[in-house]
Amino acid sequence: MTKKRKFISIKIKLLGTLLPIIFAIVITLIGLSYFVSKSVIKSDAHKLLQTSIESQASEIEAWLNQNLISLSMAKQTLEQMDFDDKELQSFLDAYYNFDSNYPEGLYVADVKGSLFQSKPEKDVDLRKPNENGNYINNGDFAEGESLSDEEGWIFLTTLEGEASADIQDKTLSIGIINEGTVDYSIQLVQPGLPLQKGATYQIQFDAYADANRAMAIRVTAPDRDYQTYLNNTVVDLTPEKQTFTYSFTMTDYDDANGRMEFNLGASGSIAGIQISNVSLTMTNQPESSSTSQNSTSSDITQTEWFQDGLTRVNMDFTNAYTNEGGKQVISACGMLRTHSDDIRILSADLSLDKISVYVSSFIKMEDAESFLINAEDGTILAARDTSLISQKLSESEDVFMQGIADKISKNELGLTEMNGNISVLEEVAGTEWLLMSYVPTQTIYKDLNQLRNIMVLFGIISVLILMLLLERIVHIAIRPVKRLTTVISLMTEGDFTIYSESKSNDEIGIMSRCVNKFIDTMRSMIASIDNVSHTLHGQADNSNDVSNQLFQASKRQNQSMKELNTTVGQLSISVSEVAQSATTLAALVEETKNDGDGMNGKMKETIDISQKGKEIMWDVNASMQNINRSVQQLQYAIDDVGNASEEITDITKVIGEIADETNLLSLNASIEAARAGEAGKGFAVVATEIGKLAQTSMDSVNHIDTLVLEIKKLIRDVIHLSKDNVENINNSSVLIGNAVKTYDNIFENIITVGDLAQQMMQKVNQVENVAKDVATISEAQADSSQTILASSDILVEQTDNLMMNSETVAKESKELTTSAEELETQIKTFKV
Amino acid sequence: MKKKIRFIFSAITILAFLSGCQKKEMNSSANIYYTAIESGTYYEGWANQLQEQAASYGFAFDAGYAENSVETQDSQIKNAAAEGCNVLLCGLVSPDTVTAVKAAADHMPIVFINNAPDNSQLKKDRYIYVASDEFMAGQYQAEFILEQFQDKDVINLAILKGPKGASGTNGRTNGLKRTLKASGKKINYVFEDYAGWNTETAQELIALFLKTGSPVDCVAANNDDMALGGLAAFEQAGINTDSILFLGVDASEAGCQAIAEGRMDFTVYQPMSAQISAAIEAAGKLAAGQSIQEIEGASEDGKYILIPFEKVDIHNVAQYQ
Repeated sequence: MTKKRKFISIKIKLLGTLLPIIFAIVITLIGLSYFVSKSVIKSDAHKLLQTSIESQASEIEAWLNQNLISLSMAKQTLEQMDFDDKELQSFLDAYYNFDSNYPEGLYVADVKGSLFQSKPEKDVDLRKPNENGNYINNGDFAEGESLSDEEGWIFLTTLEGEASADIQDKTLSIGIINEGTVDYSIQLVQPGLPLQKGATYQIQFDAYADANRAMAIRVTAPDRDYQTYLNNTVVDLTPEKQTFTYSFTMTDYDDANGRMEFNLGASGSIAGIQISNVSLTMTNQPESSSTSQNSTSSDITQTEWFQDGLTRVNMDFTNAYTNEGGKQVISACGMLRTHSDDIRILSADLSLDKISVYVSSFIKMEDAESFLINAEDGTILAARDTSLISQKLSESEDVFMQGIADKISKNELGLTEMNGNISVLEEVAGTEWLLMSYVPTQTIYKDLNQLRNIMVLFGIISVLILMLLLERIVHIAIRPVKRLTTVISLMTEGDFTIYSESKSNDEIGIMSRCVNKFIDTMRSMIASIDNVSHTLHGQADNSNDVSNQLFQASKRQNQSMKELNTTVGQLSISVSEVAQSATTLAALVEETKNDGDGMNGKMKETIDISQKGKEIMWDVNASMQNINRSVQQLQYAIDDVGNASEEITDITKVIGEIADETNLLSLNASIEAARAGEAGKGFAVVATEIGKLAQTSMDSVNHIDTLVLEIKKLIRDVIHLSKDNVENINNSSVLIGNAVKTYDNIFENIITVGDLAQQMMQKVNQVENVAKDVATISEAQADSSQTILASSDILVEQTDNLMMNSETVAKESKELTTSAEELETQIKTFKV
Repeated sequence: MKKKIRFIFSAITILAFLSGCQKKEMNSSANIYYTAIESGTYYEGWANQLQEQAASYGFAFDAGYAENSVETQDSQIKNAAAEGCNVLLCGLVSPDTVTAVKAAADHMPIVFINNAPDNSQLKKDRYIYVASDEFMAGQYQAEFILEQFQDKDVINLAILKGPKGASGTNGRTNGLKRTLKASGKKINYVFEDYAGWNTETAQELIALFLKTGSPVDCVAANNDDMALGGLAAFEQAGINTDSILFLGVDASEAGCQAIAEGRMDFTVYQPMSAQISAAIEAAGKLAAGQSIQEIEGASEDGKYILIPFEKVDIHNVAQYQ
């Protein structure tokens, strides 16, 4: 307990416990949900990749099957119809451009090398150029032909174009009034130009304009949706005549209806134009393409499709290969069931383009890529990156590709994560192909990282908010306790002037209300104790004064008693002396009587003796006077003592009352102190002490009372005795006076008489008797004065006791004062 | 928070309790329904043997024949489910209808036999497939070929396949081709076509093939019937087949006889009884909600029980006749 405790507030303790817990819970929750989300996202990605590749594979399969079915139908027809060669050719021709997947149609070849091949129904009739090789009719404008008919040149205006044209001096002049809204608003054209596939053509013309301006030229295909052979080309014309040359190549097909166009509309100028010497010439012959029909037999039988076709009857696909046309194809081929011994192979080339589309575009996953791989040799058949096509996986320098090659050779097709990619392989049913899809793990983890960041952010924010909320909640919850703590701390230091304010209805509220109640109780209690202690203090002061007075009084009484004692002592001595004198007198009287007979001789003696007797008588009389005075003094002294005793009794009564009250107060104080509990314990001790003192005071006062009563009794006795004494003494005095008188008479008689000796003798006898009486009385007197002395001694003793007791009372009442003061000081430490 | 945790705990407890109940409930004997692809001796044979096997386990057994009709099969399964069957043996009419079959089977676990569903449709200890290991059949054929042609570097091989897309076709052909490829020898597939398990088709195809005059060292067929068809084509064309291997699968009566006569060279026996007992045992386990893992031939993923084939050639053909 004595060890000093470090102060840690409840708030810090609460926050210190709760915050780490909340922090841990939030971290755990976020971690958990992150890992769950991670696995969900991953498995979703895997599923998506798997689904994507499966759908790609089934698209490809479906496409292959669809083609296979239509080709199988063609094959079945051929087998059932048993065509002759001519019929066969026309059958095959029907397939030319019949299906976009195999636009070239079908091939039928036999082991002898003869080939039947689908051909276009009719060849495009490509007319010959003129002697200069110019395909344009009236290119030099030598003839003044009509520009509005369908022959040769045609001049057209449309869409707000207004212009006129005419041919003069081998030049075509065009005047423009309104340029129109589009470039073909004003147009000079020549259709019907024969353009051959694979050939390169050159266009040349001379032209100039009235002012600098532009026009556009192009070669289009009206029969093919106006696609352009020579793309739209802007020609900048100046007032100076220039020669312009352009060329283009026919890539796709023959077209007998090419259309040369000069477009003059909407070019920002209406300057007139002159055109002359227009020519279209073939600069590059097309590569000879019509060799197929005449190809040698050895070629055909060695083709991929023919060789492959020999290994089956039902149509199926060859591997991908490059056909004679230089295209990547797969061929569907198979032997025809014929009745002859002839073996004929039916085949059709399918472009891999379509499959490439499936491979490169039918991926359902972002950032994912696909390859189509030939499982046999690991060649890439289709890929988005066309440079990869025909490469062998195993020969690739890419580690990932080699890994895939390795997987294929081990026939491990499942989903794997490799080199930062998630990859999956899927067989394309009915082929030797494997479709491979892969997606960089980065793509998947990108979402995951974003999720993680959001979660971490969320976690931090929620922890911060929770921290803030908790801090506030704890702060608010603890605030009354803090206030209460301050109140109790102040209270411990004795300050009861403060109140704790709490309106809350919880334990803390109850606590602070109880504390308030306690403060109220304490305040009223301390106030009453304070009052009591004040009264006590006053009374203690009073009792101190009174006891001091008592002490003084008893001291005085004591002194008086001592004086009395001394007086009594002197009295006693005097009485004794009287008694002695009386005895001596009696003895003298005896002698006188005895000596009466010898009066003569003895008269002188008698006179002397009488003289002496007379002197003694006077002495006795003086002594008696003294005694009388002493007794009177004694009586005064005794009266004093009586008065003092009365005073003492009064005082002790007061002390008694005070002690009573003190005792009562101390009792009350003890009860209050008990009620005050620990705080009142110190006070209780003081109260008990005071009680004890009061009790002692009471006891002392009672004792004093008893003593005073005894003293009073004794004094009364003394007074009584001294009164008797005084009476006796007075009596003695009277007697002595009489004796003295008598003695004087005797003395006078002695001197004169002898005769009277008898008388004298009688008288002497009388004296003797009186003397005897006096002696007896004096002795009795001495006795009683002895008694008085003894009583007076006792009285002195008693007054000594009384004095001592009153000293004790005084001392105790002083202590009482000190205690009362102490009590007051202690109570003063409380602030109320 | 506390409440949440308590809620989760109680939820888990309740689930555990319920699942416990469920297990107890399922601990009854199996009530099996077999829906065969079609009637006829082959599948009726299956049904009879299955019934015998089920009886030996004390399981209830009933069979129906779907007669190649998806609708019939569907209604048969629904009836079975309604009549209190607790496990289904299913010979799929079409592998495409697995989802519908599973739906029709309702609560019942399914043991697929005779026809393979897609791997992705199977589920561990719930929807399983009991079959011969088709790949192994092809592998055995390839091993036999390689053994016979040890000294040849180039082998000219004609393959007669079952129907396109059939599980037997794919498994057996892949087993054959991959094993051959792994040997490192040059394999010329001089002929490869689908003959639909059929002798006549095989014969016709091979007859056509023979017109090409391509060299051939062996004819491997996905079953014995097709091998015999191929053999017939050769014989009809008058070609000496002594140096040519003819391989089939199934160890059918005709096939075994041809081997015994030295006309055919090799086949693999598909132990039907092993499949049947495995199917019934698996059905019992699934009905009881147990794992098939302890059954011999169970795959690690718990989706398959694959019964190994047995090799049959001239030396041991007598055992299979």
